[in-house]
Amino acid sequence: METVQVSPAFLAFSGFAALWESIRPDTPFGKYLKQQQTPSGDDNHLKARWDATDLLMGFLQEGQRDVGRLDKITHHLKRLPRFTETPQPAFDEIELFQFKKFIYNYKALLKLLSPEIIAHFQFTYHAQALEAQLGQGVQEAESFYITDEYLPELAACRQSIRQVDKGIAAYRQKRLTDIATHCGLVFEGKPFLIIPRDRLPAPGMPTGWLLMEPFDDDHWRVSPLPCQEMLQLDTQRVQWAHRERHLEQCVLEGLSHEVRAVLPHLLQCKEAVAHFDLALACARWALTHRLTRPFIGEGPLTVEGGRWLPCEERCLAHGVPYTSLDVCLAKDVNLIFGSNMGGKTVMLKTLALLQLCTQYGLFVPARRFSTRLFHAMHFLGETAFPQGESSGLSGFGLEIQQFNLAAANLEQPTLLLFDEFARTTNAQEAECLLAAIAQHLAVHPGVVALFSTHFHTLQRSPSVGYWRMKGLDRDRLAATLPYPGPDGGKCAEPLSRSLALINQAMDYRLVDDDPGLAITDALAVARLLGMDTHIVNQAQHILEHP
Amino acid sequence: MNLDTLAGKTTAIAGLEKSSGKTTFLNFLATRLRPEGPLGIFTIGMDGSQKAPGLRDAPIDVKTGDVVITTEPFARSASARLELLEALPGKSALGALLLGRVRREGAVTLVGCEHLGVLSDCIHRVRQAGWTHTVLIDGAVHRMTQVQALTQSPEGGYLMTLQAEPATLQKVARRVKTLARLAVLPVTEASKPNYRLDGPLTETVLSQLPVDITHLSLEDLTKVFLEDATLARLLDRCQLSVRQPLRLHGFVAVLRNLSRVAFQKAVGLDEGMLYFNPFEVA
Repeated sequence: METVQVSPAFLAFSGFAALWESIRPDTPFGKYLKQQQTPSGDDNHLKARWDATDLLMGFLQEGQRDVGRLDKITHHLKRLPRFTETPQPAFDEIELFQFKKFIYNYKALLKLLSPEIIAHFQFTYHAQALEAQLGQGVQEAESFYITDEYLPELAACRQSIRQVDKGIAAYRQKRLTDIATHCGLVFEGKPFLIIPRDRLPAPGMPTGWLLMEPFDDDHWRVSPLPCQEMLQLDTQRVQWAHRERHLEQCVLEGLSHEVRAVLPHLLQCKEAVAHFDLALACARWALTHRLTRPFIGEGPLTVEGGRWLPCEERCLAHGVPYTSLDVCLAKDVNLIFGSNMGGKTVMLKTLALLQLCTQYGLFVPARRFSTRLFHAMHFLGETAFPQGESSGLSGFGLEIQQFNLAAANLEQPTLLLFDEFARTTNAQEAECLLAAIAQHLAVHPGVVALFSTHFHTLQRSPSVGYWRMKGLDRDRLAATLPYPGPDGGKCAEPLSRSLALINQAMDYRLVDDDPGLAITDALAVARLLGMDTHIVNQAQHILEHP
Repeated sequence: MNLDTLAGKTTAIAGLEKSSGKTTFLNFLATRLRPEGPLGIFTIGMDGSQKAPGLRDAPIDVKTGDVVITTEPFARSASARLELLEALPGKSALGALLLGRVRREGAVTLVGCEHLGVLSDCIHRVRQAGWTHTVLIDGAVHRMTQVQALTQSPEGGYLMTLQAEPATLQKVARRVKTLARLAVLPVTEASKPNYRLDGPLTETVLSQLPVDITHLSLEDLTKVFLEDATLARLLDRCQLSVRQPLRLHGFVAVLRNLSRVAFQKAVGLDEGMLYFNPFEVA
């Protein structure tokens, strides 16, 4: 599998990590497998992952008619334990218990799966002999006990222990009866009594029946002492107990021999479970978020109904509509212009998320996403405050450093996302720099680059695509505003209301850019966000009378 | 106090101080409640690793059907024989932890879980599976916070064991009164104005709280780490409430050179909250 380099900035920008976190396999094996996942550039590997998701999405959808079956699958997955994966001379009881529990739940799981799923994930089961060995005698399916049935000598040993225990109990009872008769002390199962000092010693009480210790000034603490026969039996019991432990160890070693023989098969079972569990979690996630299978090809990068899930969820929470992304990028290098708060950044985030989902082998939040596989993905834009060597750099310096790193190897398929690159330097030079970078990237056939920018008047190139977010719909805004429009009047709305108004009036669709059509929504947006009207009006005046 | 009412419930037995007799009382209570059904007997005390070799907690007597938490080595060396029901997460210094059901009665050393959440899950599991009727938990000296593991259990509560003699009576009585007052704190009502305190109430925290607080809401009574006298003063000037109530069933008192009447007078509790040394006979 080919290694894919994803910059931390790209990962953070995409919002992928939180979504990846929400995919939760049920077994320790699935969880471990998930931790090992990295973005892949291997077409076949990814197709295998999507096939598995496809298969299990169908299974889950079909299973909606039999929810109990799905619940049982989850139940058994959750109860599949880790087990010791390296052969041991003698596994201890807990280790054998884990094998037994794994086998039980694994078998139960297989009974709930369709033949197609069993074949796809290569579930097999050849541990019948071990299963029988681990369940000898009377014990529950998911418990483990070294029963008498494992070894006749063990059964005989335990019989001896029972007889000794019985003998000890009989002598103890006799001693307690004698004490009660002679002293009137009834222990009733208590190990000792606290009695007034004047009650003992009782006349005629034989010595050696009671251990008497001072409790306080007025009381004794008395406990029955064992008779000679009890002590002898106790010594016998200790010897039988040693023998019992030795025989139990023999049983453990015998069972361990069986386990070692089947361990390679159990590891295969574990692998099958891990892949099934992770695929099931991905399928559940895909159904929850209405995801679809991406397509890999050499054609243009195409998105239909693309959604950046964090933004979609926020819109849903605020009761405002979410505009999904539709775009077909005929060219590999593209500039996206648009209003402030017009959706440029979300457009880039959507692409970043779709691409990461694709290369992590997941389905994507889009009606259709057709893309290619990249070996490197970089984001260039505002990131966390720089650390280490970069801490001495300005915002612009940091961007240049980011670009140098990203552009170091453009011979491999690379996805570059620029969010308002060079916005902190003077506009004229920034436009030149942006145009030059776009032209430079356009000559590298494996590179796909998208820039969001406000530098609308930069030099254009035929090898670069130019787009704009459609921006404020003035008519729609005027119809919804409770006060004079954004080009006049006072805005006194709270921020949440302002945001809702912007959302209602903004057209977040991506369209071909018209270089002759200026984008002048900034002042209107500033007004909507409650900026002092005098300042906005003055800005409007300066704009109109340069 | 009627101990029979604890059957079917989850009860922790905590000690007011060291050697207060909690394990002895637990054994007594186990014998008393076992006829109602098998017991879950757990510990939230220090595990044996924190004690010198040979000084670990004594094994407790268990009967067929009881469920305990111990380690694999302790299970192997116990005179009782255990059927493994669950392997528990984490590993004690004494070995891997397991939940086991007694197949042959005898004695076994209990071992505490590394994390309280595990114990809480075990209590939930044994109840859900119907493995036990009553759950008893051997508490720990000055580890009241661990009683919180009970909060997920229905009708969870705790008993406190104590020893008293004339020389310690006043000190013990103050502590008992304080705990009794804390135990009856009302549950915080969200509708009332409260100063909500998250985390422990220590002398330092108390000194930093606004002086004009009239109602202080605590997480639960185990978050109070004040000297008895300080707490008494606080209770006099401020209403305290808890967001998570815990039920104190009462105190089990072992008295030396002290009459029950004198002790009861000193602590000021009615008989319903007291249980005297069950091993004492007239």
